[in-house]
Amino acid sequence: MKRKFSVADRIFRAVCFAVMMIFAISYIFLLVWMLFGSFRSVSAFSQEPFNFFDISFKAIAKNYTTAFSYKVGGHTAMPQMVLNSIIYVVGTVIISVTVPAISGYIVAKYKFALKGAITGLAVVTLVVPTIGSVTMTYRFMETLHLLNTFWGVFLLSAGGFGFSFLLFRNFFAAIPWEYAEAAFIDGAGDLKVFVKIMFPQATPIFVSLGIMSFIGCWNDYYTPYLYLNDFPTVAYGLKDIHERYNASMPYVFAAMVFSTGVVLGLYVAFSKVIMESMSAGGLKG
Amino acid sequence: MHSKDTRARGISVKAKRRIFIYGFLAWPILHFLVFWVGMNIGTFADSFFAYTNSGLRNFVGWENYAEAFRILFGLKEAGIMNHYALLNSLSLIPLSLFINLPLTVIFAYAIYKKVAGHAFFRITLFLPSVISSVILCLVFRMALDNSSGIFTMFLKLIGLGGDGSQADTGIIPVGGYLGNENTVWPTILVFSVWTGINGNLIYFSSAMARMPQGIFESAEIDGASQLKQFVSICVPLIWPTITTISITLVAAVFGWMMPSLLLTDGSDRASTIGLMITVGAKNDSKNTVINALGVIVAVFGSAVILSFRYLMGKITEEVEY
Repeated sequence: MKRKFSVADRIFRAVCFAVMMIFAISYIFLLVWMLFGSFRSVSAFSQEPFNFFDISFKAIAKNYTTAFSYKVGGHTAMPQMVLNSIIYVVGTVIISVTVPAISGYIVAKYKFALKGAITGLAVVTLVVPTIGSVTMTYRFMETLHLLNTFWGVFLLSAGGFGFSFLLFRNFFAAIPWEYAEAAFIDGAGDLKVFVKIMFPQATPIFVSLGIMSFIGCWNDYYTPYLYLNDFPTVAYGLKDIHERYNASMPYVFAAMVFSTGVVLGLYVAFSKVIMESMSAGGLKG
Repeated sequence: MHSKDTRARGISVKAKRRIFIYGFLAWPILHFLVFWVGMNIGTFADSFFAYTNSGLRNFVGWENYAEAFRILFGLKEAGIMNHYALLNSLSLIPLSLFINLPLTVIFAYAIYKKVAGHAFFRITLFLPSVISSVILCLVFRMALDNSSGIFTMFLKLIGLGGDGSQADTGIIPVGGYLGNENTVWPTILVFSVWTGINGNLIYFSSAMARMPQGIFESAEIDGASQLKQFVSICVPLIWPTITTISITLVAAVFGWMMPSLLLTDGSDRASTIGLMITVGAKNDSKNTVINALGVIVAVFGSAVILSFRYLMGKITEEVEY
């Protein structure tokens, strides 16, 4: 049966719809403009930036070839930037999801002396703005010869008490402990319970945080800007490509389409898993 | 004999559990001690020293703090190290809390209440979190381009963009919206609203998905409108999530820098605390005035965030459901 809404509800829903539509259309327009722009020749684009229909295969080949062959910093072309991004993203995602998962699990499920203090620390790391320590961290990495190395950025991402920790702690706290107790009675140790019983139940949140972390790292400009200058990633290289081809936007669009396509595809494929797993954990400080 | 075995086994299990707990927590604790405690203590300690060109470290007392305050209060300026940094960063707090946050919560509620196209909005409104901020910034910059930007072309089309000559630019400021010192920061704020409906939508949506449906059904029977339900039921129920997200938003303000860097290439007038410190650290990691600025930001920022957290806790009590 179709529901009937009151006049007040209809106005509320119409206003929400209209405002959301403005935002949604602006994002979609951006993507469409980028995509079709990457299919057009430089001269056609300069004459009519918003004509979406004069696409040509010759222009597509030229735009994507140029975007993929341009060397950022004079030394790194797109294939190498993709490889740099993959190394950076895979390493960082594995480390930045696993470490808080373990600490979140232990704090959620065990009683021990530091339990309260650790939860407090996690909140403190969110509350105190530590942007000022970037100078010291930069110098520390330089001294240890970790600046411009993947190991250096992996090390930076290996903290266990950030935002992900709170998500994992809440998620594991909501999982019943009965299976674990039954396994303990059968002689299983803590590690076995952790690996064989609790972690498989956390697969959805692992996947969703992994995907979110993947998207965040793939798009990250800040870390490569500060710590990985010699190994430009795709996101870092985009700025350089834009500076070089400022007057030839179709080349820039080609690079942007490639960069966005990777994460957009991943998000569309996993959006349902992400939404469902977040519903299971929740977020409380 | 049996009880002795049990006790021996019991102690062993306890010890193994302790090893498991502290063994796995050892790394996160060590990482926290080195990269959080160590770096912050180091920042504080170094803020009382200055480095000479030859790398020698000299004690300078409070001089770095005096210099940092001179920059923050406009008595001294050097490029992006200027008093706009603090003003701009602080202006992001009301923007985040009173525009971006309410919009995100209302959008999540509209999706929860299944407005027309809710499945479409659920995917599209999350796009700013999926698209690289580099791309968002560069495309926004192109849209405002003086000659071929869609926004400037639109203004010219409707007669507000002048006649294209330098003498008549209509409502387009001289130098363009991002090139004019009076409009650059407001334009960045508009960009922040445009991209501000971000990943938090997912947290609010998931918090709303856990709300008990029965309360809304009862409210509907009692004739409460959807707006009334939003204000009187939804917001109190998801208040802990609103509190947590708003704290992260306020905390993020002090490190906020990417749009300033990418939209303006680090314009002086678009400086922020985060930009000043990050670019400063990259250009000269031995400039200890930045350490002093960092300490001031940490103390001031923590005070702002903790006061805000306290206020949020006072507004409404957490509802168990």
